[in-house]
Amino acid sequence: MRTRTLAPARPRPRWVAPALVAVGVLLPGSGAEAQSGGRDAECIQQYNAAVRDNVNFRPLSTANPANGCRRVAVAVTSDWGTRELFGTAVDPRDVAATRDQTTASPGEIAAPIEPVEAAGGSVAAVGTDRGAGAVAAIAINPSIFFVSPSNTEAVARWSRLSDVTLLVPVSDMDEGEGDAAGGDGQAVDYVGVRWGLNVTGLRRGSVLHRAVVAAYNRFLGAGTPQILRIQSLLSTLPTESLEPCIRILAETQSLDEDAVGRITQTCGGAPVAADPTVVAGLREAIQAARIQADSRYLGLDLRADFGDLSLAGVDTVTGTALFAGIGWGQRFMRQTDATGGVRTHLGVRYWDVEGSEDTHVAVEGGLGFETIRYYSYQRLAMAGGLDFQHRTDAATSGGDRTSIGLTGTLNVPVTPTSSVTLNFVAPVRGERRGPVLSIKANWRLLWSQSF
Amino acid sequence: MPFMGEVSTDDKMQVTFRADASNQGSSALATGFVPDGVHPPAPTEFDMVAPGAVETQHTRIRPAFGVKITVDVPAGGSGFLEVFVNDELRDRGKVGDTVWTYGIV
Repeated sequence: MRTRTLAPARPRPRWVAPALVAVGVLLPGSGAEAQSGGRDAECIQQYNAAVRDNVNFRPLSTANPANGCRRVAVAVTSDWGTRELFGTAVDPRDVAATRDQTTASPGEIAAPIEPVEAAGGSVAAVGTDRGAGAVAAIAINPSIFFVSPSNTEAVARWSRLSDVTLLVPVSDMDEGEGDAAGGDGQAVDYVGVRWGLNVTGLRRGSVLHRAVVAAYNRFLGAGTPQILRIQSLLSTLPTESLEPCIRILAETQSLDEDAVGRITQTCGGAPVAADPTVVAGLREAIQAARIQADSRYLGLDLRADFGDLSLAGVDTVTGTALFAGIGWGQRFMRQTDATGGVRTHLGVRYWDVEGSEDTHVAVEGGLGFETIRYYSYQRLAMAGGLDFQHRTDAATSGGDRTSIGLTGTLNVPVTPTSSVTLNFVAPVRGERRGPVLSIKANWRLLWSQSF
Repeated sequence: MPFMGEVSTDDKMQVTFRADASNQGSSALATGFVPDGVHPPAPTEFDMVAPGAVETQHTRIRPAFGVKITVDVPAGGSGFLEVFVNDELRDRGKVGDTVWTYGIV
């Protein structure tokens, strides 16, 4: 498995460390003995005595006591904050793409071209003016087959590129006329295939990974002033206070308020206060980076529908429909876990009607607005907008060639991997695109949880 | 065990983690340096280890305050961690979530 080297944080200027030590020396309790070699040896001796029976610490070598107080500081602060870091650090599901629905709703216009992060499925109950039915969808992100979850950079990049969705009816797979059971003898009355390609996916995924790594490196660097501060305290303590100070430091596992009070009282000064924003900052960086990564999409939307096209929201006919379009969306962050945005698409649809020589071509487009509230790996999302279809053929159009519909979508998370979506399309002008109402249960497969 | 003793600058450190095949997801293995504020920060080795897989990291000890080896396993998971310094076994053990810190002299 490939070992990846993360870019280090920007080097700290050379004056920082001496300055931090100087700050410590100037605090109460400082004295001429602060930097003495004798104190270094004393620090090591007292430390080894204090941790003699503590299985969590190894003794320090007494052969060379140079930098003894600093080495003790490294030892006693070794566990402070680190567990919190990796309790919230990079998980593949934290850097993978996220979306509100597993698949686009039947008839949904301006559906975002954002791939499902690994795989997912949905079952939608669809009501149209031709009747009701249920459509199942299975979506697969091809990256699941060739990207290792151990490579979070690759997960972040490739999970945003593409997915393929297959739609089939599940309520009555052979509705209509034609045989004794009322069907037409075909296996299914509707099959749909979707392929979404998000061309912004790879680049934005890379931005995401770098942001998370940067937050991770900031956290690592936050330990440096703590060590320098403890070194300063140990170097300036009266001799009689050294042993109890080192003992209380070694007993401290995390810098809660009580621990800070005990250290301050025993060691004559406070450690660098644990900054909760460091851990929270990392957590928020991951969340913000994910939102940023998902904030814009531009890509191809290719669809093919066969059979009862009303289940695809295409028309109230049976036949074959092909659609090729582009989709674009932009979200605007209002706060860390909520965004508003706009999404649109434009494309050309071709379809022919079964049992007829008629073929049709139409230009379709949509413009929608959305508001999203982010929850763990999920979104509570509302979207609304208008879509239009303008037929370029005149064969059967009769009167008005242009139809306009009002669309609305509400997605409510149920669990971190499931949600319910309500979607409707109401005709505003023209009757060719009948009303569509669907309620859909979504299920998603997340990348394996680790870290 | 938070503090595992000390290593020297320019030592060769090899860290190997074998994740239990029964783990419910991948584990994280990270080896990073606590910067000393004087020398440029050293790069961090960061890998994820699938259940049943083995990951090895090779690090040359840079001037820094310390080096931290952190393993984070899925809930209830575990693995076997080994640390070699200059090709000699330094520490080994069955671990869950853990941080091994070495001071640098």
